[in-house]
Amino acid sequence: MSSQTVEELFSAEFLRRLESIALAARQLVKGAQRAQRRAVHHGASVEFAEYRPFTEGDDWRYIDWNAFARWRQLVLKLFVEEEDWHVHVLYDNSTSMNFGAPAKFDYARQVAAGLAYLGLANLDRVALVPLQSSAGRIWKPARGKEKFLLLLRQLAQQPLAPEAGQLEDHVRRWLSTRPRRGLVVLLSDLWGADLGDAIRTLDRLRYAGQEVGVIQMIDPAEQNPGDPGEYDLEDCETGTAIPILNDSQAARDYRRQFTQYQESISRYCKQNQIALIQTDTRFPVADLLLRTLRHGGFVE
Amino acid sequence: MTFLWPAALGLLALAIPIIAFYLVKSRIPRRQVTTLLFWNQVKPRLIQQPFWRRLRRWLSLALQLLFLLLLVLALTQPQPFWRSAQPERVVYVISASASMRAKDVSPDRWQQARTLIEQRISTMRYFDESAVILASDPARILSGWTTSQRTLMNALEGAETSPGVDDARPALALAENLAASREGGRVVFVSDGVLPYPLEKAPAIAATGKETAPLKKAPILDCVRVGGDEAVNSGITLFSARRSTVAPGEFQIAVRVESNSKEPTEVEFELTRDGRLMDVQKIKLEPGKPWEKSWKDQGNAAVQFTAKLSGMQRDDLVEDNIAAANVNGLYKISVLLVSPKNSFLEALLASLDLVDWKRIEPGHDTPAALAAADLVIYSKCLPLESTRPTGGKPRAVVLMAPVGQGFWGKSGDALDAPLISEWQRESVPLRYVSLDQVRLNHATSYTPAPGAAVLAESFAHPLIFGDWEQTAAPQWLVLGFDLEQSDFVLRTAFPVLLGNVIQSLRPEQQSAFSAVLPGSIGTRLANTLPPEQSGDPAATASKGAAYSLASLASHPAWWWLVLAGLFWLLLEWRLYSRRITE
Repeated sequence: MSSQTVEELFSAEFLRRLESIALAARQLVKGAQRAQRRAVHHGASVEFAEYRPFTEGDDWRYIDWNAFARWRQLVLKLFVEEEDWHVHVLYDNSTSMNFGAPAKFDYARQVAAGLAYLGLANLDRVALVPLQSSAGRIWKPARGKEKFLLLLRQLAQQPLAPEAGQLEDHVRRWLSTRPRRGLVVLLSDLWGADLGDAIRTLDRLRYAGQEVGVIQMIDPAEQNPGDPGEYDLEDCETGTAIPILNDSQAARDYRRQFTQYQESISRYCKQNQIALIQTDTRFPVADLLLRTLRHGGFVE
Repeated sequence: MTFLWPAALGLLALAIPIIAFYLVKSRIPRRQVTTLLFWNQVKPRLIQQPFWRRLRRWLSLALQLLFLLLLVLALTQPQPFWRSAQPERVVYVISASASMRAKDVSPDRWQQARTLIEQRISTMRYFDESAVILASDPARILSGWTTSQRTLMNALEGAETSPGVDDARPALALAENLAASREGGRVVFVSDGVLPYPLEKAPAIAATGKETAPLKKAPILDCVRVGGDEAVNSGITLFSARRSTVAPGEFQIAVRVESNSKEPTEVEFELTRDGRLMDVQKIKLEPGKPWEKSWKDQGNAAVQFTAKLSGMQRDDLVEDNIAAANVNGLYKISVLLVSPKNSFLEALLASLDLVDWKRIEPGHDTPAALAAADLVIYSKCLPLESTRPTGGKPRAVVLMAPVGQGFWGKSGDALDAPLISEWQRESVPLRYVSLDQVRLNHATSYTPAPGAAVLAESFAHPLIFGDWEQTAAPQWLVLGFDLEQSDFVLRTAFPVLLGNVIQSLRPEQQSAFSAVLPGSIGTRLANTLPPEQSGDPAATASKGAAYSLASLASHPAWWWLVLAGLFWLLLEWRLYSRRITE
């Protein structure tokens, strides 16, 4: 079962380790300059950016007269204008996430908390969005580390969504709120309503102009078909049950289907330059943030 | 079909909980999964399962019930359908010969025979009757007719083999009489086939004992043989120790050792006298060649000699590896001569070995003096008591030329120079005595007491007579002539006669007692049963144990049913187990 308190969900050790992890975006929102988490807007600022020759129509107030005295040429002095970096952490709160030990939902919330902390620490605006927003509360984009404790409390109290649905629908519903463009990190097991649901979901995020990163988390038990025998297998989300004779042949088929699905997700992300991490819940969250994200391109 | 324990059928009620548990167990468990994405891809193949696989759950239940049925049947101990519904009445005769201890089968023939009988007893139904007879010498009824398996088993527990070879015929005759007392009774003789006499077909038995009654059919005799035909044995076939007839103080010991092995066999032979080692020999026994040796030793006391074999590589019968022979001590005869001085008699008595004698004057033969003597010789006088001595002492009395009347008869007229016309050469006193040259100057005519035998006579006049039978008390003999009035004392007949008289008084001596099994090595373990009674030798040799005629099954039916039940259990487990579903 998923945890409901801050103390249960986020240990002190976990929070201490977050301090040592830095978050970075793969690309700037606008402009070709690749600075850390920094969009380039030429405007009023205290930080010099560059000089540009004065052309007609430019505001003469920005002419650098000292430079004119030195070079005998009118140039405009441009400054860097900093822009907030939006990090949208979408975590799956469907019933299928309430599985395993620890529950995948707990694991996802820990990762979400970790990402949020790193974002807040770097003055980014961080939003925490449950995929089925109807069942939980959205943490609207905000910045400032002082809000982190509040964020944790809300995260800990997030319930699981009682109803089933398609991943694509949930994402479409969120995109309809016109979120600012930024980095969208999807935390989910990616068990969609069908085999193409997860792909369609990522497509929608891409088409919305979001930078997408995916952390797919599964429980180790889900990789295996379980003990042999006859069972009525019940989908914990939909309640649909099917009779299954789990013999060795069925077990082999299950493993093959599972592997093919994982590979299809991986192949899609690689083709579309989506950072993908496929992990299981045995892997420590802090290590996942520190090391696995580095491999996946989330952190420089 | 009949059952030894029909009450066990009640255990079939266990089928009810089995079915109940099975139905509970057969409910398909529900398992929650996070997604059916992948199972939905596998499902089409599962729907196309063969028909029998969908039925395998019911097949599994059927197998469990079948197993229960087999188990219950095993407990009821059903008897084969060919076994008669009539009561079976069997007299088991088990051979107790020493050869039954042969270890050519494991553990030995005796145990194998007992096991065979115990198996058969264990399959007795409640209305079957059996008896057990041990074919020892004499035959012993271990248990009379009984339906109690425990009684029969206990009776067998107390049975032991004998040290020698026993004649089984008295036991078989006893068994046949016992079997004849029951309707349909029969005899099963369990032995290794080593019989000193061939088995004979039992005669018909009179049903009622009346001469006019029809003869009853003799009971069926089944011979069941145990043991093999390849027994290897090395043993002592002769061991004797006896005193020399020439010099009684000297022993002669002889031994013969044989082996029936086809290969030369090395053994160690050890001879002891009263526990003290006399000789040790390393012997190499060649096939078919016995090893023989004799020893001499001296001594007057009783002695026990023991021969022992050891060191054989293989020896299936250990009972003939040791033999003992006992030799009794020498016995001195006490002779009391009641006579005036008689040089001939005194010289003769002094010359005899193992004779302790003394002479007293006539009239001094007091009862005390007489009681100390084995033999009293009266010469020219009569006993003080005219009546026959009683009390066992003296054991014998010889009267020479008695005059008068007594228990021996009475004297009559004198005979002048009588000729000995006839004498009994086969009688003990006159054995090897020749009287044809003896000349008598004078003799006396006698009238012997009733019951006396005339051993020598002169034309119907008894000259030597008496009662020298062993049973007489005392033995007595009358010489009807005066030794000094004849040349009898000058002839060899005189010492021979007196020697015969004295030697015949010696107690019967078992000069040697041997514990050696009789017969040669080859016959000690050899089957003498006719082929139609001893089974197939080839089959028995291959098994290492000779089993019998078809009447005794090696395993009861319930044993096979349990085996089949276990097989079904394994099969059911294989099919039903959820761990192995294919």
